[in-house]
Amino acid sequence: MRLFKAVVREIPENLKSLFFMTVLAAVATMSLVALVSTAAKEGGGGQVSGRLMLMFAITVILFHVTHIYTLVTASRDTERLIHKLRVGLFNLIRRTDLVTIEKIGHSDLQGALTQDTQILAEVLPMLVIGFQQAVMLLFLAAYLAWLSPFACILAFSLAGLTVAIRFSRVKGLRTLMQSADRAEKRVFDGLAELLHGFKEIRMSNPRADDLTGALADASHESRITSSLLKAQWGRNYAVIEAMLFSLVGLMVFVVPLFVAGFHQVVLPATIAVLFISGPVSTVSFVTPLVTKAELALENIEKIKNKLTAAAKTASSEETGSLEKSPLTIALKRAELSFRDENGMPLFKVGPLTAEFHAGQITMITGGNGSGKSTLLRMLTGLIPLDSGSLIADGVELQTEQMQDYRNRFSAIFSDFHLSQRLTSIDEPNPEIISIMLERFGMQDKVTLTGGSFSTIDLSAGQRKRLAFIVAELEDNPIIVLDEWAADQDPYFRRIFYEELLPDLKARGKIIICVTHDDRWFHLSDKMYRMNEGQIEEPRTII
Amino acid sequence: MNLLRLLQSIGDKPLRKLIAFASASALSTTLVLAVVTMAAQKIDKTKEEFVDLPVAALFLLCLLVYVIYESRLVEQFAADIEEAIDQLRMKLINRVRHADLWQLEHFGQSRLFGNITQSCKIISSNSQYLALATRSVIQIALILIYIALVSMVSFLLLTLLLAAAATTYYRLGLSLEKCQEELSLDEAKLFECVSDLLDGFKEQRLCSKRSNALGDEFNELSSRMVEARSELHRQSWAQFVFGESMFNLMLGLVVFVVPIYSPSDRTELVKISAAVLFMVPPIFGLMQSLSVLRAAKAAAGHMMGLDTELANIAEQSSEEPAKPAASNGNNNFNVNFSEIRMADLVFAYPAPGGEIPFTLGPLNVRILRGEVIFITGGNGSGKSSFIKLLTSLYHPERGRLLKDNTVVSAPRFAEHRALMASVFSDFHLFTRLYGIGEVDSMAAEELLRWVEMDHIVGFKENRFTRTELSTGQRKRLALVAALLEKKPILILDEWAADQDAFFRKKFYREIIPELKRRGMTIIAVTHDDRYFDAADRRLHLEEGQLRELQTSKEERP
Repeated sequence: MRLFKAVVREIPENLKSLFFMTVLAAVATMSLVALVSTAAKEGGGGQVSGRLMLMFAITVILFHVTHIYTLVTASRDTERLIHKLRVGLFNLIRRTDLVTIEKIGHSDLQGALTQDTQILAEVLPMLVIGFQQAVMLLFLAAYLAWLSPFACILAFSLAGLTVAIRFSRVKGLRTLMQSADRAEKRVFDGLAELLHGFKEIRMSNPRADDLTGALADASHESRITSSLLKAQWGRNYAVIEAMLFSLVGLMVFVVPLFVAGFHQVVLPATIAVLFISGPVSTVSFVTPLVTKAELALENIEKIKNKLTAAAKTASSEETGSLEKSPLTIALKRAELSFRDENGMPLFKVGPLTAEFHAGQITMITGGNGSGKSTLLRMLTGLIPLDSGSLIADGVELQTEQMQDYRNRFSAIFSDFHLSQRLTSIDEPNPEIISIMLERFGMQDKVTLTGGSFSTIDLSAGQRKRLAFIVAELEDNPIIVLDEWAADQDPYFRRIFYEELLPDLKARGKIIICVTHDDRWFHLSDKMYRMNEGQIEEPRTII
Repeated sequence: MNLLRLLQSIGDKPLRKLIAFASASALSTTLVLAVVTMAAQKIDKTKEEFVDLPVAALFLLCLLVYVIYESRLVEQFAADIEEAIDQLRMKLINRVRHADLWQLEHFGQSRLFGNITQSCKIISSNSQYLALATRSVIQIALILIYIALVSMVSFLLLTLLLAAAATTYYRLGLSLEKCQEELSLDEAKLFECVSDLLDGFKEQRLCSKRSNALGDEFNELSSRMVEARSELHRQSWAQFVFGESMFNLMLGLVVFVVPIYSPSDRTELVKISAAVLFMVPPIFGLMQSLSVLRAAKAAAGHMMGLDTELANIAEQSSEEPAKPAASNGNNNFNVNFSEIRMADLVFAYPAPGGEIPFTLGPLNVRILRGEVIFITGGNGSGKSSFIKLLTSLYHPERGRLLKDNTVVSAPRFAEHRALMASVFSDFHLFTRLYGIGEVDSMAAEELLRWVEMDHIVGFKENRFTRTELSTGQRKRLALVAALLEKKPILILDEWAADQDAFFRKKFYREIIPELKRRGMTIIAVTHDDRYFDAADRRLHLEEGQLRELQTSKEERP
């Protein structure tokens, strides 16, 4: 019971009062049933009792108040529980190293932070009401047992059976649901292809016919599977409802056969059973959700455990600091191997030895997959080395200095991420921003207000220019640019190589530039060429 | 009522069936109520444990009828709705397929995609509740009629209370919806924060300040969510418990108030109480499906509105002419054309009020069969639009596009485009090579070898075995796909931009000359000035104006 443990661990404050109020609400329901049956009978005798009426009024109010209290308080507490889980996980991810994050994978992390917490947020309130109705059922059972033990046993056996049937059918329904989802996804994927490849579709009629034909098949398939799913759902629903109706049937057609003197209690028993069917229906609906919540929690905890295991090494990275910003950084015989799940080596980078100096432009070039990006990751301290060392000003960097070392970088990777809010700069210099925006021809497209860009819905080249502005504002001593110019047109490409880079150089930064633009190779002070994970001896391309 | 219109799009039968099945189901449950209360009262009156077997049989029969019709109701309605969705969806897809590119681009493709997928999902996943809502309405009416038959006074009192309660309940739900909307905005922000962390993971690792700011922001957003969601829960529980209390009041009304006004009905109090309790499930069911109903109604409206909107953006010649018979043939190189000409072609982008619209042209160009032509120019100079005009994907405002002195106009667009294969800068690599028949995999493998992808990707059953690759690699696959189309003209938009220096050289020095040798006409947008000499002609665009420049190396403008 992960859920139970999580509740006791994270939100123990209101449990007692919640339990008390739940019981009170259940008692109120029970007395309501008793009062209504008594009054119905007495009314039949010709008098309306003021005493009963007063008790009825009190009970109704008591029910209302306690019911609202428990539901609202419990929902609030579950939200706090989700908040704690969510923020805990977020901060844990933040402190984890890149390798672990990439090993776990974006989609799993995103799933835990968004889908799983969302499932919890949807399911937990349902569980709250389910629990409450279950307690209510206990008291109604006691009342019914007081009227006729046999009727109580019979009614609750049937109710139990109903819940069990519902529970057992969930699995079959889920399989159908998955196949319906899959079929629907095929339609949506086809639609996405139609829209993303619209120009291509327009270019060729046979292609359009073929794709629409495939879509029509998928759409028909989706229609069939969805209909099957709904038919099954309908049968389940009808059977469950019919069983709830039979509860009442039991009281008037079955119990009288076995219990002598039942005629005295037949009316209150019938009414009590009518009260029972609602909660039974709710409980039968909610029980399968417990599994859903457990699964979501399990998922979150699994990821949390993986992250905590990795965090043990990572947390020490924040304790130390560098004496000053380094003027030289270097890799010395640095090696890194990529392995598959079985630990078999796939690709090895290194041993790499390379130096980068302040006030110099160092360019790195090489084919696709030659190891350029890996070199950058090693150099920026994003991935720990398998062997060899990372050196700043001639001294080997210690683990506890790593975060401080990383903080000295501004980097625009080829798969860079531009966030709309400027989180890395406290007070952006408006002068630099307007100069840079103008220089990049973006003054009419983007403004920066309140620490946020007005839009980042721009072309790749334009977003890279914004990322460059952010790097300028950060003004860090080391700057890494991974194929920055690839998405720029010749004009900005020239500005980049002939103005921006020399300007950075003049300001004494360590400039590290991955590039394919051989016509500007001559601007570099140093050039590394990578091939198959190794740094090659310099040579010219043409 | 959009949902009904949607349902009626496949005929009148579904609606009749819906009402018939719902009525049968509702009637059977009302009979269950009548039978049960009658039996209970009989036992109570005769003071004997007496079971009337025919009545018990009737009870079972009613249950059986209920199970049959309730499941058929859901099944039939869902099947009908799914059929209607399927038809409407394919109608929309066919409309999209025939839409005009320029107009579709301005229609918003993500809006279109979101609209179709979301709407289908909303309607499809809720169809059962819609069926049950119909049944609930009939059931409530029948139970009220039953009550009226038993005691008119109770009927009047209960109907009044019910109406008042329903109105209040509905009102309580309104503010709830607003809450919900605000909440989903907050949630979107929270999720944005998550993708900032995950997509920008490297960036936040490189900067403690950024990392901490992100953490603080997430914490703040998350606590705001706690508040917002709690408020939402508070309101929705208030609504729910209000509903429950109203039923308690209705019961109180029956047992305490009715006897005062109508002494003759006193003996029937149990029947009426039971009837009230029988109304609980349909009423709560109905209330809960109201919001679902509204959403589904809106979704149906969206989809049907989309249909009309899309009909308006169809390209002029939606009924494409007979497809060229040889379009699937192995060798289309002989498709007859010797030149393509633009004569005073003008294309203007509509500009927002006050600004000067960007105009491309007038363009006068003649492209001869077998030429290699490079199109150059800065960002926004009109290169991509030029390509779209050339392929007749965009239609000029003035001037003519001619193929061998025949104007390319409405009925001939498809025929004109059939001459060309393309890799656009925002190309799409299809999961399967649609519409080129069975591809000779030997030929495909050979092309893969040529673009140096054979060690990474294979070709099987008209599919590349992998497509989750880098942009440069995917462009190579797109080039292979385009070459497999075997069209006389190849159009490339910044194809080499994502290739490394070595492959770029191979592309300009080996691939292009070889394709030219095979007789292809190549029209390529490029920035690679060091290879401009690989072209026969170079057309330079600047601010929408076209000039022909020398192809030998020279300084850029």
